[in-house]
Amino acid sequence: MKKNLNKEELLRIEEYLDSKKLVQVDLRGEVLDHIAAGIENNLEKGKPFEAAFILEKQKWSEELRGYSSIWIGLIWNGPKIMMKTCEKHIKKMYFNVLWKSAVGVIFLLLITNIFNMKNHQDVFIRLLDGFYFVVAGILLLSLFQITKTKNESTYRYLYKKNALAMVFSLILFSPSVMPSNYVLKAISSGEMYWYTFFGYFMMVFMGIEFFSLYRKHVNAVKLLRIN
Amino acid sequence: MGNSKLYKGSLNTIILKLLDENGKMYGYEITQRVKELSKGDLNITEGALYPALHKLEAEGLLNVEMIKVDNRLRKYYKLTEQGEKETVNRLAELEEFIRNMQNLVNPKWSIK
Repeated sequence: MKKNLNKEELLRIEEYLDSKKLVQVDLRGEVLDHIAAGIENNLEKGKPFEAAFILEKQKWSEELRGYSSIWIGLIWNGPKIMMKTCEKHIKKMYFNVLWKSAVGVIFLLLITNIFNMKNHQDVFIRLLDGFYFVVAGILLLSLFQITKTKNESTYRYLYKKNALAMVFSLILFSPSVMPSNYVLKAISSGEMYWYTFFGYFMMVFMGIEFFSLYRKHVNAVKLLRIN
Repeated sequence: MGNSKLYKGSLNTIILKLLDENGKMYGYEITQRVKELSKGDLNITEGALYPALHKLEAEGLLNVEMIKVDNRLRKYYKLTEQGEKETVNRLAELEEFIRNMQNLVNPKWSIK
């Protein structure tokens, strides 16, 4: 006969996950259900709750141990399953930023060559400069919104840890606040400094990728609310 | 994956195949079904299962549905239309891999 866990027993699992700091809604519910289903399976075989719970805790000890990742920042520590998930998000973001920036630069090189606009690189730089501030503004607004939401997710965790630094970088390294020698040389000489533009594109696309984290967080929370 | 690194590359295909047969499943159910089908030989660890499920979901091959079961929320996974097509492709690839491995490990020598 199937034995279901009562509310107190489920609360014990919740407390265990709290102690491991697994609070992200996109993982926690699934882990809780897995542990609960494992315990119920053992209860059916005649094991008492405590013994079944210990068995499950042993199974999950590796995935819930403290873990730091160089991709997120070694000063941050969290359950391995959560940090590994964040690591995957951020690796995907870097990959997207690299290929999009490469496409951006190739497109820019083609445009400047086809329309003979090498002497007007300042136009593109001013355009990207505008993007820097638009993206920084959107990130700041999203940070305010994401901080207000009650639920934590792996997306929110990454966003909160990195978005503010991203906003500052966007403003500090924007062509108008810190014009590099390369930019000045590019504008004056008319030579195309594609690597400068690659750096600019990377910053803008990174900002956009961060904004997509915010959207994913909203969707993860919505998924819980619908049902 | 508990028993062998050899199974690791096939985990996604195993998940897709199970979902194709069973419609929708949740994480624990998948581990138990694999254990049952392999008569206990194959143990999918939690650390391998969930990243694989989340990856397949991110690739658009799986859909998720949250259902309240026994005082808690349960996340069910099911194949998308794209996932159904991909299952056919991946199973064909796996079968070809098994055939090739059998030929390599156990070649039928003949004198021509």
